[in-house]
Amino acid sequence: MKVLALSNLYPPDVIGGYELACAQAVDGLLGRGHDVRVMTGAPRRPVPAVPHVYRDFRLSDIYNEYLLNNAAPVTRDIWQAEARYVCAHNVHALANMLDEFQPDVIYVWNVLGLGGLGVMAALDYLRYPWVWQLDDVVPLWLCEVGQRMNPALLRSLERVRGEFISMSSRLADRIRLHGFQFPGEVHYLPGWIIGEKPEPRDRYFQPGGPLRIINAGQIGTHKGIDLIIEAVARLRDLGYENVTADIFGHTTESSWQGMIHTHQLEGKVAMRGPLPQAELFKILPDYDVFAFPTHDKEPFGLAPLEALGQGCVPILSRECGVAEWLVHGVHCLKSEKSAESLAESLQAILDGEVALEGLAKRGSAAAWRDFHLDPYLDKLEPMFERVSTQSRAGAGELGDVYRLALLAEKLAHLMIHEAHVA
Amino acid sequence: MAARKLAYLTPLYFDDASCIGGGERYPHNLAVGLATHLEGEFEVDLISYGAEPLTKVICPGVTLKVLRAVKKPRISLDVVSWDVPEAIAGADLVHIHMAYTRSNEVAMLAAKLQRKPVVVTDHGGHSSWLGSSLGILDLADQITCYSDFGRSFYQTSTPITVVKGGVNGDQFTPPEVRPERDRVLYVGRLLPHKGIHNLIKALPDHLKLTVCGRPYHPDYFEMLKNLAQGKDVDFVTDADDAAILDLYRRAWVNVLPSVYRDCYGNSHVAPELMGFTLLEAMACGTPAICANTAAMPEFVRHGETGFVFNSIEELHAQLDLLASTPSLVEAMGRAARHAIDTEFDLRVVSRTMGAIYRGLIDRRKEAAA
Repeated sequence: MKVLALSNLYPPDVIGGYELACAQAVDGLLGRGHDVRVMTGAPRRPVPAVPHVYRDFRLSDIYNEYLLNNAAPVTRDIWQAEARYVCAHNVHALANMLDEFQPDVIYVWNVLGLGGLGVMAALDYLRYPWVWQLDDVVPLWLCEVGQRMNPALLRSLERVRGEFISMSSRLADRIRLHGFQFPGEVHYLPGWIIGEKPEPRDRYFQPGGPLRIINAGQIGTHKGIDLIIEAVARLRDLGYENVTADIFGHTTESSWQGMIHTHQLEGKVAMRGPLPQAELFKILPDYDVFAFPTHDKEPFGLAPLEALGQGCVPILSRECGVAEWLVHGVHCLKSEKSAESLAESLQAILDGEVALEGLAKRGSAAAWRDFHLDPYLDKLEPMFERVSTQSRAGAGELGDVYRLALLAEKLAHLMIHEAHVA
Repeated sequence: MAARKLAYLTPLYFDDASCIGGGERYPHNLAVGLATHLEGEFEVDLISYGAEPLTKVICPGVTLKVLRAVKKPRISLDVVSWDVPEAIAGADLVHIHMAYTRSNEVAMLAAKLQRKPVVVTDHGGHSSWLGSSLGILDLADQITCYSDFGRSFYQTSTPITVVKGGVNGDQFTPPEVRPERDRVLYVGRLLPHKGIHNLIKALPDHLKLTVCGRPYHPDYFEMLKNLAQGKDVDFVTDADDAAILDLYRRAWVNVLPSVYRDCYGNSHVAPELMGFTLLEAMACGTPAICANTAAMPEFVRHGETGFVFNSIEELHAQLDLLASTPSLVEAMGRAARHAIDTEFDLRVVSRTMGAIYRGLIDRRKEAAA
């Protein structure tokens, strides 16, 4: 099939897992013989050219907080409008690509930064069938006006017809909760791991031995990093001296080091800085537990699944996306999002009440069997086949869609300017 | 068969709460005409804007829906509302009244994104050239205008149809018993481009003139009152429809003396795209006189339903002739009413517009099938 993937960023220009997953899925489809092209934003730094990746979109870089914080208010609002609502340049580039490539299906990823509403409206106007991979609340982001959901924009987005993939029902429910009613079927497919199944690890935690905890990813209280530190402190205070935690990820805040010092956990908890994903995979077998006391808005949480694939057992906060897919006591442990609850789960392991080895083996087997890219693609391909047969009757003209995008963009600019002048 | 639903979008609507002008009366009349004369085939939502939302049934089949404006705009024609997409969602066709306004640029965007067939009619109100600079009229499926003069302004690949007229011949009728005709009449907004000052100058001293309309330009109104001193001129600024009907019926003639260049030196490219009040008077069996300006001569047949003048002197002579020749007034009045019945009445216009709408809706449904 001819597949056109749309993503704001694309490796090696990345912010997080969303665009990495996009690249993995695209590579997987290419590997299965599909003709796949990617349209993405011009990179924020030079990157090597790749034949199937077209970096022709203009990215309104609202991810650059320094720029946003230092821009004039009117400029900031126009950037936001071009990121969320419409960028005529991007509609033009998309229309040209559609005309030239004639894809069977559009595989939509994160379109924030590209004028995502305009992109989706253009696809709808031209009646191209699409499947939208939701790894976060992108429809809501696109419909924000001044940090509030705009009902009229939500209703407009509801008029575009297509199918959605959500990584968790929690994610889809959260989108619904904010007033967006999905205008097409929502398929629930979890995140995935890639690569080859590793050799079984040769060491598992045994009571009395060292319990090594890891966390990797974004560093912040929303991810529960503070709870991990506090949990280790609680266990130390209870007399468990054989617990250590290594936390990997980028942070410029010194408060984490201060917290470790306050709890006198030097030598037990360490902020290790960022680590490339490949390197992280290599060291995961050295750890027993992946602590993931994240927030309840976590759409999924790929890092604990990757850890599970390496036999490192996740302790998940009960209210996060990935927790929907793994069974407590079978593949993982689940706790409340609190230091006390996390410490209790760890204590159960330390006391031998939970056999970590069994969890690790069952969890790892499930991860490679059920949460690999291949089963995802097995479900994606028939979905693509089905939507590609949808009628395109009544499709609009390419030139018209660009003209409408220009009109929308200029109207937005004028109204933003006028609001600031007033 | 379920009624076909039309959404008429107009920045202002025909009501004292919004604006009393020909550009607002036309969509109002047309909506009523379609609902009344085409046996329930069409229902019309007349969609406009205000500080607060409002829904009001104008007549069976016609509902005024006032959407909440985002904010009060600097120019009233540039009003916009977030509620436009929802308001047109159920429509089979969108008719945009007032082509060159911010309000209707937004309406065009919403309508096209919902793949509605779009008809556009300009009524002469220009507040934004953004859409024009982007050629958005090419996105419309059909343009209708009510004069050849109006048609000459369009530069677009979109088909244009001229549908002349649109006066409500059931509302404006000759009286059963004609009251004594005793005056010259002007009906319309009191604005410089209407050329009312020329009418007062041309008025023979022995004739009475009634100037009826809302004063939208205080300086001009003051000037008119000064010009009228020493002549038999009265100003009626708060007449309702019944009072206007009575004035039409008792006038020798209704005069619309609009100009391309007003008394302040300002130019008006399209001072009259039709001249609605001429047709209203004609419907009442009263002759019409118009300046040889813009579209008006397309509706007044010189020497048959009234006169067309090129100078103040000509107008003076025409007024004198009519006031002194009652038989000519009655003959011209009858001819005027006949012209309305056969060409310009809302019945005729509704049938023509209904056929246009029907064709567009059916074609869109076939294309989407």
